[in-house]
Amino acid sequence: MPPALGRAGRIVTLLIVAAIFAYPVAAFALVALRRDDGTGPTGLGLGNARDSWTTVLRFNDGVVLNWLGNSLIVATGGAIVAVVAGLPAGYALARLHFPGRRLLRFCTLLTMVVPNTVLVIPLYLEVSAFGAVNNIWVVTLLMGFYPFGVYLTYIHFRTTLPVPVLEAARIDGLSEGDIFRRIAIPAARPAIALVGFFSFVANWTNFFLPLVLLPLSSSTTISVGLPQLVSSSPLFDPTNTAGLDVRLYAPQLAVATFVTAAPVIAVFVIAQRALTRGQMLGPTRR
Amino acid sequence: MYRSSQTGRWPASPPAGTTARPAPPPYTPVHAADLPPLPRTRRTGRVVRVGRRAAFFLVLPYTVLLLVGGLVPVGYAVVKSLQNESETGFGGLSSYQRVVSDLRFAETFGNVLLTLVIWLPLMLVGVVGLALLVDASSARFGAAMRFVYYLPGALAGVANFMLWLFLIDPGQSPVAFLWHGFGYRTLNEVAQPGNLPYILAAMLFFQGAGTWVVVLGGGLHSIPDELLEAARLDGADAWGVAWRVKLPMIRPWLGYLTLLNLAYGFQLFLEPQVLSQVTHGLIAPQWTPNQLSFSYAYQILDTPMAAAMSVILLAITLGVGLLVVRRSGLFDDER
Amino acid sequence: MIGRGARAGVAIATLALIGLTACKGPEGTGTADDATDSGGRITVWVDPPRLPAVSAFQRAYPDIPVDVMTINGNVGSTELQQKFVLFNQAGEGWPDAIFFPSNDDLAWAANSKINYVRDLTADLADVISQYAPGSISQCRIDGQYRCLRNDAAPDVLWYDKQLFAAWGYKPPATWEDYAALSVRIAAEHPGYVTGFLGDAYAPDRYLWASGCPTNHRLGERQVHLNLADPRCERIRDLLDRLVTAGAIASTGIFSPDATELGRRLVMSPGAVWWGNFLFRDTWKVPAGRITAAPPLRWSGDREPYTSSEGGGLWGFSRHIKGAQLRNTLTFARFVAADPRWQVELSVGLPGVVPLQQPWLDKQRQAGYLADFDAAAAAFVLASTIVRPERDYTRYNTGTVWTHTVTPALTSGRSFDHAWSVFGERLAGEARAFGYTVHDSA
Repeated sequence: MPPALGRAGRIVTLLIVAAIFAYPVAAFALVALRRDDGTGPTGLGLGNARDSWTTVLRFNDGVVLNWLGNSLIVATGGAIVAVVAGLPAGYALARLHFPGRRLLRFCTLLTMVVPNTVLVIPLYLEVSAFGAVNNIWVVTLLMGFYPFGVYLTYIHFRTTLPVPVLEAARIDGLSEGDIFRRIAIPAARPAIALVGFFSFVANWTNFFLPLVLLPLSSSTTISVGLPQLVSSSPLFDPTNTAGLDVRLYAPQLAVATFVTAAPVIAVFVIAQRALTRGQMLGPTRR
Repeated sequence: MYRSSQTGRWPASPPAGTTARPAPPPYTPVHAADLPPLPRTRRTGRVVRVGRRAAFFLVLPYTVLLLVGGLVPVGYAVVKSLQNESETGFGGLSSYQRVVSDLRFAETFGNVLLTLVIWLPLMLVGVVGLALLVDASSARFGAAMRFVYYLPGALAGVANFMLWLFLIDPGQSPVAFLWHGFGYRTLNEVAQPGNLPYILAAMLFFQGAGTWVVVLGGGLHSIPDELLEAARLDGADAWGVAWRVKLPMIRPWLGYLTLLNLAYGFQLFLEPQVLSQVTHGLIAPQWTPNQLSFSYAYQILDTPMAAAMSVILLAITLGVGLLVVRRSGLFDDER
Repeated sequence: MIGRGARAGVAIATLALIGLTACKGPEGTGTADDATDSGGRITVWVDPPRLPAVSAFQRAYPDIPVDVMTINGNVGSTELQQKFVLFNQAGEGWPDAIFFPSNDDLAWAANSKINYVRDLTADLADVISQYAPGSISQCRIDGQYRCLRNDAAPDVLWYDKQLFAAWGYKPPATWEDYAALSVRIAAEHPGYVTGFLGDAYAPDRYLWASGCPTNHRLGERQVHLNLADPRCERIRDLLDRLVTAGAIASTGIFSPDATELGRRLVMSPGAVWWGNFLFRDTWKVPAGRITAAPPLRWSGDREPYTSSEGGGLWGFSRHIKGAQLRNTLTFARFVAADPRWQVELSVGLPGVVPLQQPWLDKQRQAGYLADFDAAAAAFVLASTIVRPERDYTRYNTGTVWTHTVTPALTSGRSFDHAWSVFGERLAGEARAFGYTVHDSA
């Protein structure tokens, strides 16, 4: 095959695939800008999206805001716990010798590759045995268990924190706690951003854990709430128009979807900047 | 641990990967120097002991979480699954027997396997193909393409499902022409149970492919230029380089991709659940093993059965997980 | 530190957990031991169409404070039950009164594991006695009345009077005539349909009406379920004929694509509430076209019988006493038997007999149905002949139907095939819920 033809073929293939990936997202974004009161979508404009959002807010007296708030609590809280608990553990695993280290590392790897949803029913059994179902802080804490974060910081410390540096610090008389505080933590900024980002996204989009552990509709998260909007929509059940005064059609659902996705996208943009900077800083620091 | 339960992506690639030069994923084998043998003086002996105590405090919070969020629930599920139906005493394997004799048990696993049979090859071929094509492109164009492929992944979890709900409803869909081509006029015709594995496979590919293109891109990027140059000097054309040099270099990652996504298939829950609702029960309410264990816990109210089902799922995914940890070679940075 | 210590920790924690889940003994069905009194405030959960009932109650009893929560649940959804499991664990949180989104919810709410709904036999004997036996019998569980019916929802034969007149048909009286006419309509007027088969109520409409034992409860864990019964086979053969002839739609009444078909529905068995809820409000069929005839009967049956679709059930909490209980019972009386809700506002035929005529008078004035007097007579007759031996069970026959029969028909499989899958699944689900399946009563 002549190289020019191969090149053209490659570019065309990539562009076609790109169109297949981008087209549905773009089309869905357009739906969010339309207006629909049950007679079919019309118009196009930001004002429509604003009106649709007001309609969504009227659903069950603004329960959507509760859901968003709860999601914010569990996602942020879970990310903080994941960093605070994971960073020292990742450091100890990478650079300290202690009994049970290999076992802890093995358990971390294993829980990391097991899909989390298979643990949800066992967690439910555990939590309900303690009578703690429907407690948002329990869910936050459970989301803070993030073995992948430990693994990330572990790798990070092994690559960026050379043993001789630590040895030198010990000879200088620094305690292990000081070493962690004054050497390890400053070196770990990119890892913190990374773990925080992944854990936030994972918590925000988690569906099964809040579904099972936060069963009351006012106390659940947006990922559980969004499907409730769907099942209340006349789009899929025309009889919903007979009872409900808040009618959610495709534009309203699309707007709710984009509002739901917004924090993930925002965190993505913020973290990306911090991470690229951090990665350049990290290795040069020591 | 509680990463996205819906997205097919393994969040292993740093987001920096979407910039022009993707950094290699964080789990690249690292051959950092091991700790030097410790001199046996009294002084360092004390340091090691102090180090132990420090290590204890450093790992304590995480270990507690590991116990509460991982080991205790698993242990408790095993214990519960061995109780009798009224939860008053030891019941041996009777709950497992009840689970396995449930008509839906084999069916839900069949559904997942069917989805995997369609999804995994699609994922492997699609992702590898795209990653190779992107790698062969100029930095700028490749990065732009990579970004577009990653785009659906930003609509993570439920948001992605909402997008798909809109895609598969011929009354709303921007690809309605496609459905009409199949002869489908209504959502119920598109989302009939026979089509569900295909829809799920497409949905998972759509949201997960971008991330893996980035991950594999990182792997391809780390192949030394000399190696590629040598292959070209040997007379290999672009296909030859891709097939004989690049592909073998990223092979361990492909194993990793396959195994992780295999385990992922067993955590499907949301998509069939909501599709069942919007199609007025056309899809069985218990279509995946996870939905079935949920039903045991909350609907049938047979706790030992729910526990037994979870233990079965855990055994399968732990098996797959062990395979990932032991065989993929990506984790043995220390022997 | 994780090795032996961890293993010991797991063992200790596990033992502690087992201790925590020690079982309590079985309780009765009256007021629970842990019942509390709010001093008068009551909490009610209703779906959106029942919100006006609560507003009417608040106007009628302004001194009773009411907290209202809107719930919506699809048939077969587990979300509601999930909440009650939580309340039972927490020992609090139950609503005082609830309108069940699906009638089958009664089965778990009355089951000994959740045991939420109270026995109303003594407290509300005066209200219960006002129901026609066929309207309240599904609330009677092991000899106790544990719910109240909101509206009677017996099936009648709906038909389009204008089309019948134009095409020269007479409304059929028996299932055999219905089948024959359906086949004829399918042949003479393609595009028109004489029934819907794809919704969760279809087994009620067809199987229950025929007496096919799908949900005959013999005890908490015993059920009579046998699709080989001759009363099942006759309806199977009939539906098979209609499907083969293309007379009956494989879609369901609640499906978005039913709206178009609803306007081309020539006749169909259907509940009383179809008139306002489906024909008028959802499908928007013009006034003066639709009317109802008495329920179809099987020519081989000695007694005429019909079935019931939906109709709505109210349940009341066992976990309250004192003023809270008194007010809840006041609410119960109001929603079941007060004309300010049942006649003035409710869209369905009242379950209590004395309010049926006032409700019908009001419907006559609304003027939607054609030939109103005949339709009204059909409604009243139907509400007295609902076939017994059909109970609400914890497995959901409607859901099993929608994910076996409906997809089979949508993908072009034969009805015979669909039926055998349905039968197998139904018995399987009954067993999964712990029922022992009996071939005969």
